Amino acid sequence: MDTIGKIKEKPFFTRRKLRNALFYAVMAGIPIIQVCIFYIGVNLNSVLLAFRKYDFAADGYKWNGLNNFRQFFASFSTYSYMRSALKNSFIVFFATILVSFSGGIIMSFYIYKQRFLGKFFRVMLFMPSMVSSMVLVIIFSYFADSAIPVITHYATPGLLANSDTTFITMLLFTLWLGFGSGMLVYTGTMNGISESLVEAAELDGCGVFREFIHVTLPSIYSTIVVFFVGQMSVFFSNQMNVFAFYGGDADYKLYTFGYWLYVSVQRASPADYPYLASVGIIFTLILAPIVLVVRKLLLKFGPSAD
Amino acid sequence: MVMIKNNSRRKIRDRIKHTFTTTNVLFIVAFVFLALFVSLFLYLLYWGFITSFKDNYSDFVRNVLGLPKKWKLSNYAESFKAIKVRIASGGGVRYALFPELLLNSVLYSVGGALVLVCSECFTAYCVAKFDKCKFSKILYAFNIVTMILPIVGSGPSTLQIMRALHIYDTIIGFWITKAHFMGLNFLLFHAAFTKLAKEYSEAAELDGASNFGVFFRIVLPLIGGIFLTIFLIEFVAIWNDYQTPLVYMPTHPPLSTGVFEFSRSSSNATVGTPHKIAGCMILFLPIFIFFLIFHGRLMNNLSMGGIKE
Repeated sequence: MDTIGKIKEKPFFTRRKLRNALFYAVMAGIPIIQVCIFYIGVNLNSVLLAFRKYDFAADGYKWNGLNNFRQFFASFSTYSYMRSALKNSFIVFFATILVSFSGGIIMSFYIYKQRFLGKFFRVMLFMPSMVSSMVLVIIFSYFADSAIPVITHYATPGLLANSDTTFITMLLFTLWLGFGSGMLVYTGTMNGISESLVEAAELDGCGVFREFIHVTLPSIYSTIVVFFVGQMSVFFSNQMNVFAFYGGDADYKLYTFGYWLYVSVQRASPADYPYLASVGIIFTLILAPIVLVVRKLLLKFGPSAD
Repeated sequence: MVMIKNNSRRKIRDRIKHTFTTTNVLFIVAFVFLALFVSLFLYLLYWGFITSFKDNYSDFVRNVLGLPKKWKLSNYAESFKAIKVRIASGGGVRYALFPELLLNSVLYSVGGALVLVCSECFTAYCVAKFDKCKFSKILYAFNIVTMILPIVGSGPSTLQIMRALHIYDTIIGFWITKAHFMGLNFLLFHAAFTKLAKEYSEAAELDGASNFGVFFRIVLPLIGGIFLTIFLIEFVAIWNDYQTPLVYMPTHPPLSTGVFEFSRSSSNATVGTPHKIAGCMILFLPIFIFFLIFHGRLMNNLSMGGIKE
């Protein structure tokens, strides 16, 4: 009797809402649960693991304070491969930015402007990302050590067999393979540049170089930032194909952090998990703020497409 | 006939002239680098291909660069037999041979790619369809954050959780690790669903179609091309991946792991370079043929900042 004269309120759960909720749960339920376990859960567990150590007597983990973290920092003075990994990771990062990253943008510009053999180059640049890098590494390693000496009439020994040229050969090979990695994205974004803008620039007497600097680069700047930040994000996980070249037996001088971390995880027993988890936490704590700040600065102070 | 030839020659001449006269150093440098890149890449593949047919002792050692004196097809047959992975299980040792490796590869790449692409596609559809819902906004923002935030070294923790869930070293366990929605593909699907005209689905809903009916009968066929393109790209990536199985599925190695182990083995019968490269070609050739067939679809369907149909 109390409800007489009042507007009948809509129930919170209508049949339609329930149907939609059921649909959402069926379609996205498994991926959401998966992410809760294998992203959020895994990373929380990683933090917990980092402060523990394996107790063989109790067959379980126990509190270890900050010892894993101390052990990692001490490893730089104890193990030469950690110093090599630090140095090599920096070299790979800067070389990738200078050569593959910058070269990739210029080559994409060539393809975007539909110059001679542009379409053919587009297919060929994309191809290495489809072919197994391991296969290319194996063929290249035999080529470098068997064919190069013959081509140079034995003026040089095998490029990989000679320890003086091993690292630079692997680095150049990695850079060479990386040229085409962003090409599809760059050319796609360049194709989105307004034709009237390009025509206006041409009417103003803008040459190719000025068009590239003043029209193309600002127009694809946000894409460039995404790729730059992406390169930074893999600083600690870039393997430079060392595992494909040498498996788990690479010379210490060739180590990168990515290679060391992968080989360590591959060989790890549960007793090694806490130390490796602490290394992951350290790497993330170093990298995440740098990446976020650099991204923000680049977007704030970079050129505008307008 | 002569006219057509002359026309095409003139076209090529004009193209070259256009490239090098109306432009400057930038294009010339780019052309030189591109030509160098492509020449080296094609020569490497050509060298690998011809080497895989040489006899190791009588031919390859004395004739590293030339064509094989006698094309030795048996290198492939011998490599087929020699590609195997040593597996330590239950205190004993067994070998996974080529058929098992191939089966694992198919299960691993087809299943993994299907699970991954379905997870991303289905979740992106829900987020795009119910875009006013707060939960959808949270999922979208979460995906962006995970793409920006670099998290390193979660491998040990993943291994521990997989062991705890008893899915470590199983194909199903691998599929489960792929059943997420994070990454660029989610954004590509989301952009595609957002751009899709709502008239079709609204008309179907008025006709009494359920949410599932609208999605599977109307929306999914409309974005079928994009779904297939992303599936193919993921399929190739997983087919080529040899590092993940080494860590997460040591007793279920795929063909890629088999070829990797084979390239590092020192078995007397197949120790020579031609055999090793023949082993690589077994993994490479199917993907190469696949690329030749599908490169148009793979390259044209994915346009950056979105997808074009």
